[in-house]
Amino acid sequence: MIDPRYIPTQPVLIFSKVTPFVDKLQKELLSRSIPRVLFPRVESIRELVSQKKSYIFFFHQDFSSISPEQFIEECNEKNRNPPITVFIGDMPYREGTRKYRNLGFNAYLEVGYESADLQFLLEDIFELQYLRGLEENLLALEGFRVRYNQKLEVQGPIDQISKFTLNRLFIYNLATSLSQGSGVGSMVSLIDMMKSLSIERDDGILVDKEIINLLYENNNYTRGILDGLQNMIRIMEMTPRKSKNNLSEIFEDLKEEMEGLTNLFDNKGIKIIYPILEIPIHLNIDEEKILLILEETLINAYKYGKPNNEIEIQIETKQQSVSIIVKNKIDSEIYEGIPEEMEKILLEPFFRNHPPVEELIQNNKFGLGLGLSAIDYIIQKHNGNFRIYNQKKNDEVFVYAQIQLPALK
Amino acid sequence: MAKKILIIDDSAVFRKVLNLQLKNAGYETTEANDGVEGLAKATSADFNLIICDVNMPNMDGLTFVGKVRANEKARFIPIIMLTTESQEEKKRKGLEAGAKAWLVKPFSPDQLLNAINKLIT
Repeated sequence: MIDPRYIPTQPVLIFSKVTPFVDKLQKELLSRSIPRVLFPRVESIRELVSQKKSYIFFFHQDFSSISPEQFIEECNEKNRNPPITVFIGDMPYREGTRKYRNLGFNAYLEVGYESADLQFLLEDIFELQYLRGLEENLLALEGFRVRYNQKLEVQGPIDQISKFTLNRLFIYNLATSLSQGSGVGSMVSLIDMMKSLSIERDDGILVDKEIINLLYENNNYTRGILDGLQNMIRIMEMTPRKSKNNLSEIFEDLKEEMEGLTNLFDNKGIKIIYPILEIPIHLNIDEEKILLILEETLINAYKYGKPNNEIEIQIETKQQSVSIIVKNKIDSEIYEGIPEEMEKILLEPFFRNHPPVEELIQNNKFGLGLGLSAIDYIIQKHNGNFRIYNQKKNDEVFVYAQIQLPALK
Repeated sequence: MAKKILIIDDSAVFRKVLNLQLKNAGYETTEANDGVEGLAKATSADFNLIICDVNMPNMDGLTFVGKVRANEKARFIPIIMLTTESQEEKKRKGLEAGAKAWLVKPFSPDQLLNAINKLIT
């Protein structure tokens, strides 16, 4: 029996010209309550793939309209969520599996399969499809819906479902952040190791010195994480002390603040280009907090920035708002930029798109993936808006962090 | 002769933790900071096992597994992936790519050694 949760809602598609074989496979699939079985033409591959539904494709070796290599290429081309693919051939199972998995198929089925073989294969690929669905739901439903509702400024209390999804998202992100790299996760592993390797004596316990030294080293990171949480609490409890500020003076102060990080930026060859304002711009802001978020935005840009490049601060003025935009050319060989679906959940607390950079932990005021949330929170307290997005130009990827604040009338 | 294990993780602290655990268990270890460095080492020396983090800069763990599996010299080295509980999707992709086992961070020395023993004894 296949777990009913794993039975696909989308049809299983068979690319084959061998009618007796198709008849047999169709009967087997239908007997397992798999809802629909279709026999598409080669032209339909691209169309089906572009529908972004979670299909399962069976490709028979005699389907000569297209080679297996072309078939995989069609399925995977520019598609973040390609269909699950099974190759059906007459090679023995081991050889066939090795060959066609190397070509990019997810699984292999021998033409003369036994019913039990098909059962194992279906259990595997349906579970695979189910796991894919879980991830899509989590990103698309929880992250997107929560963020989207906030952006639309949905009135009234958050309903029970939204509260649940919000809490789940926080816990999910926190679990990931705590477990990554140095800090809490490493501390747990170290103490486990100490427990298993230490030697008990009458007068005490003998512990490997290396373990103790590692615990000391890791403790600095763990303390940084706790400090980050404390800083976030202070930010959430604060009421901004707003006053009329000249933006040019803010940038002069920012330059002074950033001098403490000159060595860090110089080591990576990254230069910050500050804007020159031809006309004075005044904003009603809490200078200390705006400086804090500008510094945090620049550190974030440094983290993903391409070595020997510039981080440029631009100003965009509109009738109702002033935007401070930090433009950063990222190292696209290391980071691919921000995937579109990630944009929706990037500002959620504890969310991390990339692992922490250990050498930066001591300069980060907010650990655990809270930096962007803190920026977002402070800007919201100023009735502004914060957004991070990508732009690709001639194979180069730029990330823009846009801080939009209300213009002072 | 001690069996050789390649450790790939971008966290220096976590690499040191693994290194210490494995050396104490009698393994010989080599460290790499990311998938690029890991691939260079995996394809230039003989390892009995690779332990590789998923989320790393330069080349992530999933890409690394795919590249190892496509390499004539290194393709049969068993790989244990390190992940966090919430990376179910990555787990799936890693298995598709050819990883043999998963360990969820943080893990105890017993869990680590059990996973290794299943693959290389």
